[in-house]
Amino acid sequence: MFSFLAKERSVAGPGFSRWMVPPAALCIHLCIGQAYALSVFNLPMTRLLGITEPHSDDWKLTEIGWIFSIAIFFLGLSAALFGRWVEEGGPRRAMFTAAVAWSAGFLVSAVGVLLHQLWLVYLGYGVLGGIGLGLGYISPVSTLIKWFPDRPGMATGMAIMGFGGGAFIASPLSVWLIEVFSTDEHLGVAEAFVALGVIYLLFMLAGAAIVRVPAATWKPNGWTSPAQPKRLVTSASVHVDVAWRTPQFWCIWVVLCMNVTAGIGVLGQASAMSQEMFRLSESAAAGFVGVLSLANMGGRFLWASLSDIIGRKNTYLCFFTLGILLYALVPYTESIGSVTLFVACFALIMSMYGGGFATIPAYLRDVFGTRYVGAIHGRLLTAWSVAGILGPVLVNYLRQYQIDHGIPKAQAYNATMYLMAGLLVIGLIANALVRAVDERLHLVSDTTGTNP
Amino acid sequence: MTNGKTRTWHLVVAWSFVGVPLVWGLLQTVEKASQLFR
Repeated sequence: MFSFLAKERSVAGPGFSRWMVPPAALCIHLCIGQAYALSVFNLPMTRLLGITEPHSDDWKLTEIGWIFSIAIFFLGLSAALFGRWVEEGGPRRAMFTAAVAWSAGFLVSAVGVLLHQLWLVYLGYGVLGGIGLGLGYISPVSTLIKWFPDRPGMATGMAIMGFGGGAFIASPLSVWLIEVFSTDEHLGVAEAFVALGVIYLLFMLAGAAIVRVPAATWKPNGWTSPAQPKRLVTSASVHVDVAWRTPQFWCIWVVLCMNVTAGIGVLGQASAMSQEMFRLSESAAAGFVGVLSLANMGGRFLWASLSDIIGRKNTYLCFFTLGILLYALVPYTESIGSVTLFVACFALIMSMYGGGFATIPAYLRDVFGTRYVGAIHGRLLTAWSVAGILGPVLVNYLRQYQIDHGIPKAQAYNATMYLMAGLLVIGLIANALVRAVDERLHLVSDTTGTNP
Repeated sequence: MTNGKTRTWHLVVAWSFVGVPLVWGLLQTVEKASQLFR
């Protein structure tokens, strides 16, 4: 019944344009990027019973916050556990499964909202949606790398840019849907979840229908593998079960974890930070968050594309050295009262945060080869799950500790900035330690994948 | 074999399918970001 999902059924015929694959990937990433806009539902979900203001039986904001945390946890877990399944079954099966899981997550959550059972929302958006997120995030990565061996950074950057762009669409769309379905006695959160679930299902299924894998012998017109590959770029492949036991994997894991930890903590606090450090109005602070979102998305495409020219290791060298300087500069911007410099620093930091996500698949491809890059990427995303907890905890607790010890609110972030710079030093060292994988660990036969 | 015209048509449809909502979302965000400079 589901034979059309088989990898063999999605092999591209002659004349298929590889430029059809990025839109297929974007169909998935634009949908799952909604996760970054989930906070739009936070306040309405605290007033489901009280409608105009929270009732004593309404859900608390702290309880609602767990929905996103559970989803990100299951993103990392499913990407790590199912990465090999995704790699071996091809992108269409993975995209189809991601579409069903992601959409089912919204529908189960809608039932949870209607019955006012928070555990159903945890199960729906958190567990099912999180699995959809993980599968969807990694599903197009290795396919894009195979279609664009000449520009793998740009190709994966384009898809992962979509993950940032998904929030741009979901945020105003969700606000509009809630408004449309709300009445004086009812908030239209459940209906908005159903509508989003249906829209995302159709959009993601379109991506699954469009996607194709290249034939085994396919190469871009006029392109040949470089006769003398760069030092860190391998033309062989390493099995996923071998790759994750190498020091290279864990160095790159630390690279991603530190880059994300430094960015994610600040991203969550950006609005409050700009108001406390510079007394910006609420609307100006919202504008600051908008600027950061644009930088985050733009950085995904621009930095990943640049990495095709300057190399992956050098790209992360830029992220960490520039990041250290910029984080150290932020307290100075507060002391001289320069909002412009403050915004410029954070826009650049956020572009590198996004760029870090988008460049990592091509880094893995350079070090471990193409064959299992999707599965290896899946396991590496556990670094994101760890950073998702570590970043906000560090920023929030350190800020509170500073305030409790009498530091004025405007300066309470200074220590955090220096801590973030410190984290980037760890990332810088880990990046410097990345070396080519020992040839003895390469797959014996790249077509059969016989070892281990 | 897909001919050139059909292939171009497929590309236009596929890119519009993702491009239109993305540009709409981008414009919304640019408008939001512009509040910083008002």
